[in-house]
Amino acid sequence: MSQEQSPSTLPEEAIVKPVRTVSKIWLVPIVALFIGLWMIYYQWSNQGQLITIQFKTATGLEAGKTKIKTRDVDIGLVRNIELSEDLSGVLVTVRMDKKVSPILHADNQFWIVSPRVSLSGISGLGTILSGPYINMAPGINQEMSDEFVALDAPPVTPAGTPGLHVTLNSESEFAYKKGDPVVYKGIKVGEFEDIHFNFEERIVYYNTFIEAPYHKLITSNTKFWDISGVQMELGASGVKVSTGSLETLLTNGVTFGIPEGMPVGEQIEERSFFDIHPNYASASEERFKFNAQYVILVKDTIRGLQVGAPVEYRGVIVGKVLSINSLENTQEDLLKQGYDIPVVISIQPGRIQQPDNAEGIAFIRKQTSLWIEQGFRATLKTGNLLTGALFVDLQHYPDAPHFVAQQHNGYEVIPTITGEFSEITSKVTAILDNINEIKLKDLSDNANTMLSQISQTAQSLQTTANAVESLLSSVQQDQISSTLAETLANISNLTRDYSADSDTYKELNHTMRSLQGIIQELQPLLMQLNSKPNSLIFTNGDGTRLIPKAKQTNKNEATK
Amino acid sequence: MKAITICLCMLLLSCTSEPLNVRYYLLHTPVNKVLPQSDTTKPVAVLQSLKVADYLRQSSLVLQVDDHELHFSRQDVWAEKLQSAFYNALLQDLNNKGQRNYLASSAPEATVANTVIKVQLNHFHATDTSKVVSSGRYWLTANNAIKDSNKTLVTSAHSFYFESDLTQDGYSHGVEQLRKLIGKLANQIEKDIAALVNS
Repeated sequence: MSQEQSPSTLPEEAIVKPVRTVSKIWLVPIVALFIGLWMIYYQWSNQGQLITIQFKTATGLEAGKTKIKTRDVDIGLVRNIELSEDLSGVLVTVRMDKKVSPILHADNQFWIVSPRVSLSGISGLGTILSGPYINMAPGINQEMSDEFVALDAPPVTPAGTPGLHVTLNSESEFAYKKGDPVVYKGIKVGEFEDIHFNFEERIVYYNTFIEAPYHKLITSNTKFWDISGVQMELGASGVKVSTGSLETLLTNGVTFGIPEGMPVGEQIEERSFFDIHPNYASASEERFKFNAQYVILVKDTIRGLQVGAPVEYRGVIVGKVLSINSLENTQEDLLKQGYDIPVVISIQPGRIQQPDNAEGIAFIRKQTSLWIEQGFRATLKTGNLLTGALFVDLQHYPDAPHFVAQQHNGYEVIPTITGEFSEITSKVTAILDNINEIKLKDLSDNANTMLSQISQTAQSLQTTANAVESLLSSVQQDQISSTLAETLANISNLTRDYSADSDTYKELNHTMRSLQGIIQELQPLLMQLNSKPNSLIFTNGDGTRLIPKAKQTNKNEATK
Repeated sequence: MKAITICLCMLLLSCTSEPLNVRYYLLHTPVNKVLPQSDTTKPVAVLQSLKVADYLRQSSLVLQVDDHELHFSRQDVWAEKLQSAFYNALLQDLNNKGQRNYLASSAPEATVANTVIKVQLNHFHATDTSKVVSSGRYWLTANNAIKDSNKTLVTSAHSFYFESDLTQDGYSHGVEQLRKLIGKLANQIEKDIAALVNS
């Protein structure tokens, strides 16, 4: 309107501009959209792989709450839980973190961690408050996977643990379970991981893991044997009690080692198979692979003889009993009189300083055949009087009757002679038979009669003995006393006779005096004879005589 | 033959000798005197022992021919042992004094004696100097029961030496003189006992 009032300022032609149809305000939602898209992309691009784990049950699992952990670090969350199509299990869908996608190996192990109490220990106590979670053990397989089957229980050995897997098998009635220890010299070096029963072979296989560095101990010559609980062995050599570690006292367990005398062998690198022997002795037996088998035909009882019993040659174990009465014999044979029970024994060349190969066996067969001709015989002897366990003893009996070599069911026969115990038994039996034949009733009657008569006789003898004793004592006393009294009287008389005032003494004294007088009388004669021996015959006895003289004369000498 | 017999007889006769003429001497001669019954009021003394020198313990009589030489006579011998002869003679002489009753040691009353005499005879012989000698010692033990109630014993020792000249030859006279010497000894003993008891 203002343009018409001023001609100079003619209204200019209106510039017609097109009106904007889209407002700028729309940028806001567009930006928001972009942000949203970006967020979706970010979420999509950063979310982990979705995996499916198959469980038998979903005990304690909740979608959106239960976490997946490895080494106690959250790596995922359970998104969905649903039954499998065939209702045989539960499919748990888990969203894993993006970072763990590279470690989703095909052999990853999943299991539910919950409180668990076993003989091996107590685990998972932390889940009492936090609730169970799914633990993942990374595997080592190069292939990746997004579908897994969870384990019922925690794996004994997490995948990738350094060590050695071996498979043990046992034909015996051993019962091991997962987690049972493998002990070496008292140290737990491994565990039973898994158990398989082979229906065709009817053998139980135990997958066992030996931890590093003990897996180096497993060599080609390693033997495994049972050390469950307390082992008591009643053998020919007596009672033997052995046990492993404290853990094996409560549970079962095996140990291993290389039997004495065997080389160490080569170290095992891959999964191998080993037998579990009942004990060390049995395991040790296995160190010799070759043996020469013979049969001995036993005429006596084989009670006390067991498979595995030692075969000794002059006290040295050279083999063992392989079987007893297991050859092809019919029941009629057994009932036949004079049936000899076949016992198959083995002689191992490795035990007698011979090479453990066919050459050693050939040497044994040649030597044994030669010896049998010279009196080489087998006997059953008692190894343990307590248990009555028997063993086969091989000895030389030069006086044994000649034996023609023979075969029995393909085995060469080592002749037997009657064992010592059997000999004693037969003699005792014969004695007992003789005793049985004695008419004990009559004998006892006679014995009773005789005993009563003896008793009477003894009584009368006692009476007589008493009487004789009293008689003897009285006689002895009387005699002794009378003899003593008489002797004393005699001694008294004797002493009286010889006493100072006695007649005898006086007579003796008188005699002595008389004798002295006579000697005095003889003295001059003796003196004369002494001075002049011939004076008795040729001269008179006076000779020169000195006499005392009277005072008046001075000289007293005079001659007669 | 007869001649041979006669010769033998002559030879035997010429060889015959005269037998030895031995003389026996007795120290104490029998005395015709009966001792009266012993007076019990007299004190009693006992001649307990007599010891004789060894050279006198033989039967020959002894003659001293020099200071240290003796001669034992072969023909003159004691009829009894000098010890018992001297003992009896001394006892006899002592009793002759009449002061005491002197008893032999074997006498029953000897146990009540209050005086005891012991004698040792050393010399009792003749000499070539015409003497007879008797010497020795004796011991007197007196029990002074009368004076002393304690019955103390008093002992005294004495020696004696007596000699006498010979007036005749021969041993017989010598024995006689010796016998007298015993009497002297008895006198001395008697005196000494009296002196001892009274002391």
